[in-house]
Amino acid sequence: MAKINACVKMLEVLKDWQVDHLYGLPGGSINSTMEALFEEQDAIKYIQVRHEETGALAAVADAKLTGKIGVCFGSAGPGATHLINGLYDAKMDHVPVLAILGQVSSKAMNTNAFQEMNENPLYADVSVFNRTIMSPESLPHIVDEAIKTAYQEQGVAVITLPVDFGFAEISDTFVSTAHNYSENTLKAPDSEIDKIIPFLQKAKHPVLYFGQGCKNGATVIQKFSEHFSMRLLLLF
Amino acid sequence: MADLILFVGSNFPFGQFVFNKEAAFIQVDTDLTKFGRRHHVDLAILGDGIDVLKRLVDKTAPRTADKWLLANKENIKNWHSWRQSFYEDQSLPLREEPVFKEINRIATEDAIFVTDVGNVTIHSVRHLEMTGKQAFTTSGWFATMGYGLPGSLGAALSFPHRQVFSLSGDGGFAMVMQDLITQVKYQLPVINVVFSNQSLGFIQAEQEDTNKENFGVDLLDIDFAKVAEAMGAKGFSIRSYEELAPAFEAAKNANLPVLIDVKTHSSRPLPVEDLQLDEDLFSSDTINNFKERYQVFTMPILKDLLK
Repeated sequence: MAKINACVKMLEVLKDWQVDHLYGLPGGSINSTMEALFEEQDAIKYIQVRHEETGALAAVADAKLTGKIGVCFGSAGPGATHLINGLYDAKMDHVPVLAILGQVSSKAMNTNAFQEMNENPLYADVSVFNRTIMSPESLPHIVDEAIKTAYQEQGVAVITLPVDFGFAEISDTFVSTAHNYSENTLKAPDSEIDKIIPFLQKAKHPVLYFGQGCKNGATVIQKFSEHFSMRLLLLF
Repeated sequence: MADLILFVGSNFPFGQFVFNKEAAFIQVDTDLTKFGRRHHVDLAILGDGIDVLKRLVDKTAPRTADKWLLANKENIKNWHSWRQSFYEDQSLPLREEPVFKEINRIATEDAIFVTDVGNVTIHSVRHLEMTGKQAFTTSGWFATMGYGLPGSLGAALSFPHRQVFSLSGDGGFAMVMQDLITQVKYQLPVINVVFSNQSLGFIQAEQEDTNKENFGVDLLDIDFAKVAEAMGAKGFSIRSYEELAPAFEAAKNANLPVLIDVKTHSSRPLPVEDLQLDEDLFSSDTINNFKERYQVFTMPILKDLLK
């Protein structure tokens, strides 16, 4: 049975999901991820920022501009908490982001170790997925679940990774579900759309206010405005 | 003044303050928790907004242009005319319009604008003349200051062949400016524009409305051009109109990060949500003071255009 480093496998999952760069700062509690990033630097680009908040906000901008998940990380305690402004921006503007939080070794957790912070509860509100890895073998599977959830909910997925798990070797059997990913448009029933028409016929001063939900729809909106001779207002 | 509001794919948090409460309201969204948040809803449609709008056009006969539309078109024309009238304004400290004239001039057809939070957001939304192929991003609902520079990193890395602007005020920029060095490290040719007016301007305006005095909103001047040079980027410090074009020309042609620090005025942007121009609502003294303060002499209000 082929073996692979758990963090390297995690990076392969990210690669499957078309992540080509991620942001963060190293720390003792995330050095197993750093090792994997070193090994895989031809496959995925590590961007060293000078403050993890910058990394989180950059990941958010990636997601806002491309629609693809942005990825950031921070080491245990202060590195992780520095991500929070960016994560709230992703949550509230509704875009998929993955945050990997460093954590002390699984053997040191819950023993008041150095820089040991009880991370999971802090990220409960901002996240749509918020889990602590409990074994090296489960790491790639949970990252895959995290990413799927981030896409489904268009929000923030957080995984807390005890550093020792990242140095372990695991069987290389997991296949990510990235190839299953698809998107679909929610189409309102015809009968519902028909209900709008009497309102349009009656109105003397109609206005269309539209926002991010109409992204990439400029041509349709312009046509709509011309067709109905309607005033437009963009609320970004 | 609207009697029907179609609210599509939006969660605009100021809706309850600016939407006409008497208007009929139709909301379209793919998320039903959004229904009714910003105005009571007469008809809620659960579905993709663009799909609904497209099918509405297909299902109906065109509606002829009427006085409402024509008045609104004239209104927006007057708006653009007024704001562009400041494009060549040379008064000191500089207004923001001459800066945006330069930004628009050098912007490529598919440039990406990353905007920070504060008065800079207002100015960007008003003055960026988007081509339809360009992109714009900011921190919308959470509205965290410090979005500009980090966002420009994401833009430059995700779109290495597109021109990227980072637009910030001096408040937001100073929160994240250490990462200018990240642009340098990875050789990302971002054009960083800082509008420095030594004030948390947006909050200064809020305090004018709610507090007795401004307090805590004054910022010391930072020579951001020097900061940029210290980090290995190219810095320009702009204090007068003539200095704008050469700096932006250099930025246009640079293949390394550039920072243009423009020292601007700290006057309040025209409060379009609270215009005091309606003769039926305000005294002529109030109106004249308002016109004088905001230099808005050539914009009739919509109500008058409808007459």
